[in-house]
Amino acid sequence: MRKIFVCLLVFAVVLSSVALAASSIEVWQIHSPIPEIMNAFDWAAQEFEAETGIKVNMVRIPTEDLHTKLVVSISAGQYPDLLIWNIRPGLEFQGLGVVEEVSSVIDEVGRDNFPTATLTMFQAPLGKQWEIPLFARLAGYHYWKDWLLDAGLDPNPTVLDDGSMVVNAYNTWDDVLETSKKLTKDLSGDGTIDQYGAGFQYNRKGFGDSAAYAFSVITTFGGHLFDSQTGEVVINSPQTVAAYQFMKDIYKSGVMPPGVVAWDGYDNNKYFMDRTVGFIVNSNSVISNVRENDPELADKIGVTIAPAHPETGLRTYSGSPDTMTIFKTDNTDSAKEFAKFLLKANTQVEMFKIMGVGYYGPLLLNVMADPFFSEIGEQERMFVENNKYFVGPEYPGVPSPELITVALAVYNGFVYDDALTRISVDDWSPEDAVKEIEKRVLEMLEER
Amino acid sequence: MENHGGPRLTMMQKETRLGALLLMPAIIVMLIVIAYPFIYSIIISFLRWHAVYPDHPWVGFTNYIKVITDSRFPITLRNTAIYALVGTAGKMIIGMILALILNKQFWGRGVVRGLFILPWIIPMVSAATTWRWMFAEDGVVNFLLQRLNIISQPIIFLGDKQWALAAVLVVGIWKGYPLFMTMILAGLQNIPGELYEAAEVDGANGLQKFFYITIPSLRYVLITAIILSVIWTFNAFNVVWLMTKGGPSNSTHILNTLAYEYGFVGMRYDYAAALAVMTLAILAVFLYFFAKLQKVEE
Repeated sequence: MRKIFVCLLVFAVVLSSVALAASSIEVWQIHSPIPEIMNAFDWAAQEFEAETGIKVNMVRIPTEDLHTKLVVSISAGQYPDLLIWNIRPGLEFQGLGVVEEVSSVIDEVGRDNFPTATLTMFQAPLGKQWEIPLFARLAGYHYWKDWLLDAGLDPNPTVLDDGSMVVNAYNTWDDVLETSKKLTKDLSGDGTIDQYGAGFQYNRKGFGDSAAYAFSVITTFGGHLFDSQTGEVVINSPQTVAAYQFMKDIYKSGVMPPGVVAWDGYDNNKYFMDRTVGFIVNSNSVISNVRENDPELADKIGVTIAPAHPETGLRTYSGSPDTMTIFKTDNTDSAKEFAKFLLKANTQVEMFKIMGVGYYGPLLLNVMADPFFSEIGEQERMFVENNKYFVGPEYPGVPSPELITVALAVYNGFVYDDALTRISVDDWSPEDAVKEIEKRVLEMLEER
Repeated sequence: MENHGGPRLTMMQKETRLGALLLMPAIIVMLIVIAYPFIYSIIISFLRWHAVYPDHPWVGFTNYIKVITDSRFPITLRNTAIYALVGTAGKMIIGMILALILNKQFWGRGVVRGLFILPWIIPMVSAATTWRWMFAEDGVVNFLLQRLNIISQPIIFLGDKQWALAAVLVVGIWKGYPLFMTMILAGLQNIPGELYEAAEVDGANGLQKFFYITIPSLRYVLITAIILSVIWTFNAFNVVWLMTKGGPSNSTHILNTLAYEYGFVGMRYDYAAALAVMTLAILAVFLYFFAKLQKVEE
């Protein structure tokens, strides 16, 4: 009798754990500075549970910790079912066999509904899909409209021939330098500058921001890491040297606070929000933060697109949409269902109603067509505009998936950021700084 | 009489067995959380182990050679030595001064003691963030130095190679002095008052009492505190990583931050393990000589 009881108990425990496994999934995402974003995902999770009975545990992790946690969790074999992020973890870890190939999900949702480039940037080799694009991560260059007015410059965007919108004072990187010089002032007259024209991090503590700034300038100036046909390392080029020369010039010109060499990822926001600097690049968290405390001040913030190369007119902005990476776990099918739920047009529109447009923007074509998006404000419109110029670390493309991993490692491994320290703190020539980048890239390739 | 299984155990043997049995859970836990990772690290240090590649072939001492020939290694070793030695000295001097103050009777001593221990209690992340703000170009440190006419232009403490390590050291000392203070204070309260009274009768002044009574009486407390501090400083990570991430230009890297960078930024667990094993070896050599020195003194 006792044996039968024990067997039944064991059976019940096994059954309940299987049921539990099937009825809940773990989703990781960054801890957003904007609570409405997390509210929107929580809403989606609740709706999904109500519809399917599958519980979604949303785990929020600070941005600076997420990569480390992911690396460790994958090494330990304890990873989430689904990860929502924008630094291409699917591509990075697919070689380990822990990432689920998701072409079937894309096909079910409708391949035509995604802008083609947003799909191919997560394929390696072409056709094998490792991540599903979810939302455009909108970012833009922020400036103070009243400062431009005071300097006699037009703060409003104008429409270019191709229909895109740009603020003329910041149309090219040369314009950025000239405008910043005009805005840099000793307002109190005590001999020290208290208003700076611009502020970009020049060190590795500016997690993501400094690499994004450096890589945007490099690619705008025509430099890139690998030859898209041969895969050869071509970062040490006159274009990259010219890009670092520009970044050195703008640093040396005194239009940025000297402390940019020690700024962390939050400092550019802080100095912009307290009106010490006049031009930064950031996501829409700045505007929402300012709006919360001082709505009138928030209206003085202008947003423009990535500055272009002064001669070629090329514009790039280093970034990537937020994607969903599905891991091979016992709950892969449930995770796929949740991914499909998040990609539904009505789910996305409802989520945008909760979180607003700005930090995230629509990416799916049927969502973009929704009337809700025709009513967004000028600032948000410019964020969406800047979205056109997004490029990834492997821009303009690589011939093998292996090189995408290297490009990501270079981007995330402080290589571009450290070169900013070299030209500023160490006063290296741009040639030497670029040579060091090349050396580190070659070492990374050799190590693999 | 029938023997039911082997020789009879004495009381002593029974107690020994029971003791061993009671210790077993702790030993098993120690083996799992200390011995296993330690041995695993040594094994990894001889393999090629990149986080995104599934194969881990045997590479002998390649990882060790790679780490030693890394241009950052000598800087890191020098920084670790400075961080450990200057840091320990700073903690000891400040801890000693404050312990001597707290050893006197005065009104509000309990509150002052609580305040002096605060750095120990404050979480490192909060402390590092606060110190980063204090060291910023518009932070309170620059403000005070400018107000006192010591400097005319703000110093970029965490962005200047000449200042960054010093700034990190200040935070490390600030965070670590309460341990020394507490240990020294406990030691001071155990020194018999008669020794000082006798010295006073013999005409000894304050300095003489300090060097001939206080310091010798505190010798074992200080040795213990120094050993602990050096071990902990060698294992320090969070102060440096949170303040500078080893920058600018690797000028503040210590062994653990470099190991972290190898492992979790570069995803090279093999290099990180090799450096961790080397750190352990360096620490073991230090402790060996320190213990020997201590024995000679005894």
